[in-house]
Amino acid sequence: MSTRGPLLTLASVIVVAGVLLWVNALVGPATAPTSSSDYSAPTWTEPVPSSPSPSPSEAAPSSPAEPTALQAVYAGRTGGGEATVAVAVNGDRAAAYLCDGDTVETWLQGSVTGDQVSLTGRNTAALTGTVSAGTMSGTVTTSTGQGWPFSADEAQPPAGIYEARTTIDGLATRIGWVVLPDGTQVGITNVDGNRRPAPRLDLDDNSFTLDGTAYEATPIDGVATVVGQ
Amino acid sequence: MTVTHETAGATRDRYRLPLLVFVLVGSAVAVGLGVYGREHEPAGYALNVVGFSGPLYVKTWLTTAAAVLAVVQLLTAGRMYDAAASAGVRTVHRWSGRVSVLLTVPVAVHCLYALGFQGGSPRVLVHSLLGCFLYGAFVVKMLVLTRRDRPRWVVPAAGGALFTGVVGLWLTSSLWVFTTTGFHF
Repeated sequence: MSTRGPLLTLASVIVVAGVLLWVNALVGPATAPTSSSDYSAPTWTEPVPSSPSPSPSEAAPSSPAEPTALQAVYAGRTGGGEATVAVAVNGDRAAAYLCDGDTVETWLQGSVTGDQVSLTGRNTAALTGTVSAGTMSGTVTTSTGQGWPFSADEAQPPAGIYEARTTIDGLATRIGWVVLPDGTQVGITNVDGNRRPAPRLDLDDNSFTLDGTAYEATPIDGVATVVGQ
Repeated sequence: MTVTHETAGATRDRYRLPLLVFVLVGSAVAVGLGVYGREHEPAGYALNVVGFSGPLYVKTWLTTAAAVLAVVQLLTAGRMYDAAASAGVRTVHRWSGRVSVLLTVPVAVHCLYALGFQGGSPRVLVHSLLGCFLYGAFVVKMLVLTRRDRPRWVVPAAGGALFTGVVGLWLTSSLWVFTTTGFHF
């Protein structure tokens, strides 16, 4: 008894943990938010204004205050108007966000070679494009496998990609917006894999209000880490 | 006296290698959990139980229940070596421990799966470290109990580490929630 008991206790803990992880894995992949692995917001409901990650990969200057010649944002729509797409380029790196403002969103990141951009994201997500005369055109595929052609024009701030991460009631929450040159905002709030339209973003100070709490969003530039490992 | 000392010394020597193995296994578990928590992409899932206001409070109260049972563990632990103690005390000690650790499992799975190992603030860092440490200490204690020929100090030391872990985790999570978000279900 005293030798088998502890092993049975140990085994039952492992089994319970395994079953819970298995259930998560069953529920998870279809709905899991595409948050980055070095997302280090404080746990639980601490109302942080935005991702405070000090990790080197995210420490890139996300303020559009000092644009260089290589730094640009392209914003537009898919061919049939299914979703908005924005691609931020900084040097040889690029980050992109596709969003229909309702349930379809995909984060992508990748590289720039000459006038070609090539980005990937979760699962099937991919974006390839060619920049010509201030317009990027190409194809984009969402993480759920929908593929569309797209065209995006080079745009000036406040147009671009915005992101906020926080934890609401213990659930990882990520909000993304595409802001088009005409000021149109298209965004999604992803709480624990449940997606809904994002709250309005105040483009004067990047603030927004979610469930009565004020937060701040971060403009995303080409070197930002937007896809987890 | 001499005989007693030799016996104690022999017990210690015979137990040295198994104890080293147990501690190494526990350390591997703790480090493994930390690495998983750090490398796994945080992806939330809703653990909700009717009667609670949300997953946050499910976790908070499960942890609180585990901490209360940990205190029961502390109070009954000394009686495990008391020959005059009733069998009931031993049963209470064993089952309060089992229930306590099982209550922490859904909480830990949620922490690891949905949030991961984080170090954004001292509270969060301490909580993350203690969470990994707790299951390492738990594994060591369960393995230690499988051999009767152990020195007397081993189980109290492992139990003390476990108790410290549970109370530290409660202080850095449930108490923090109760004091910042409110004391309710």
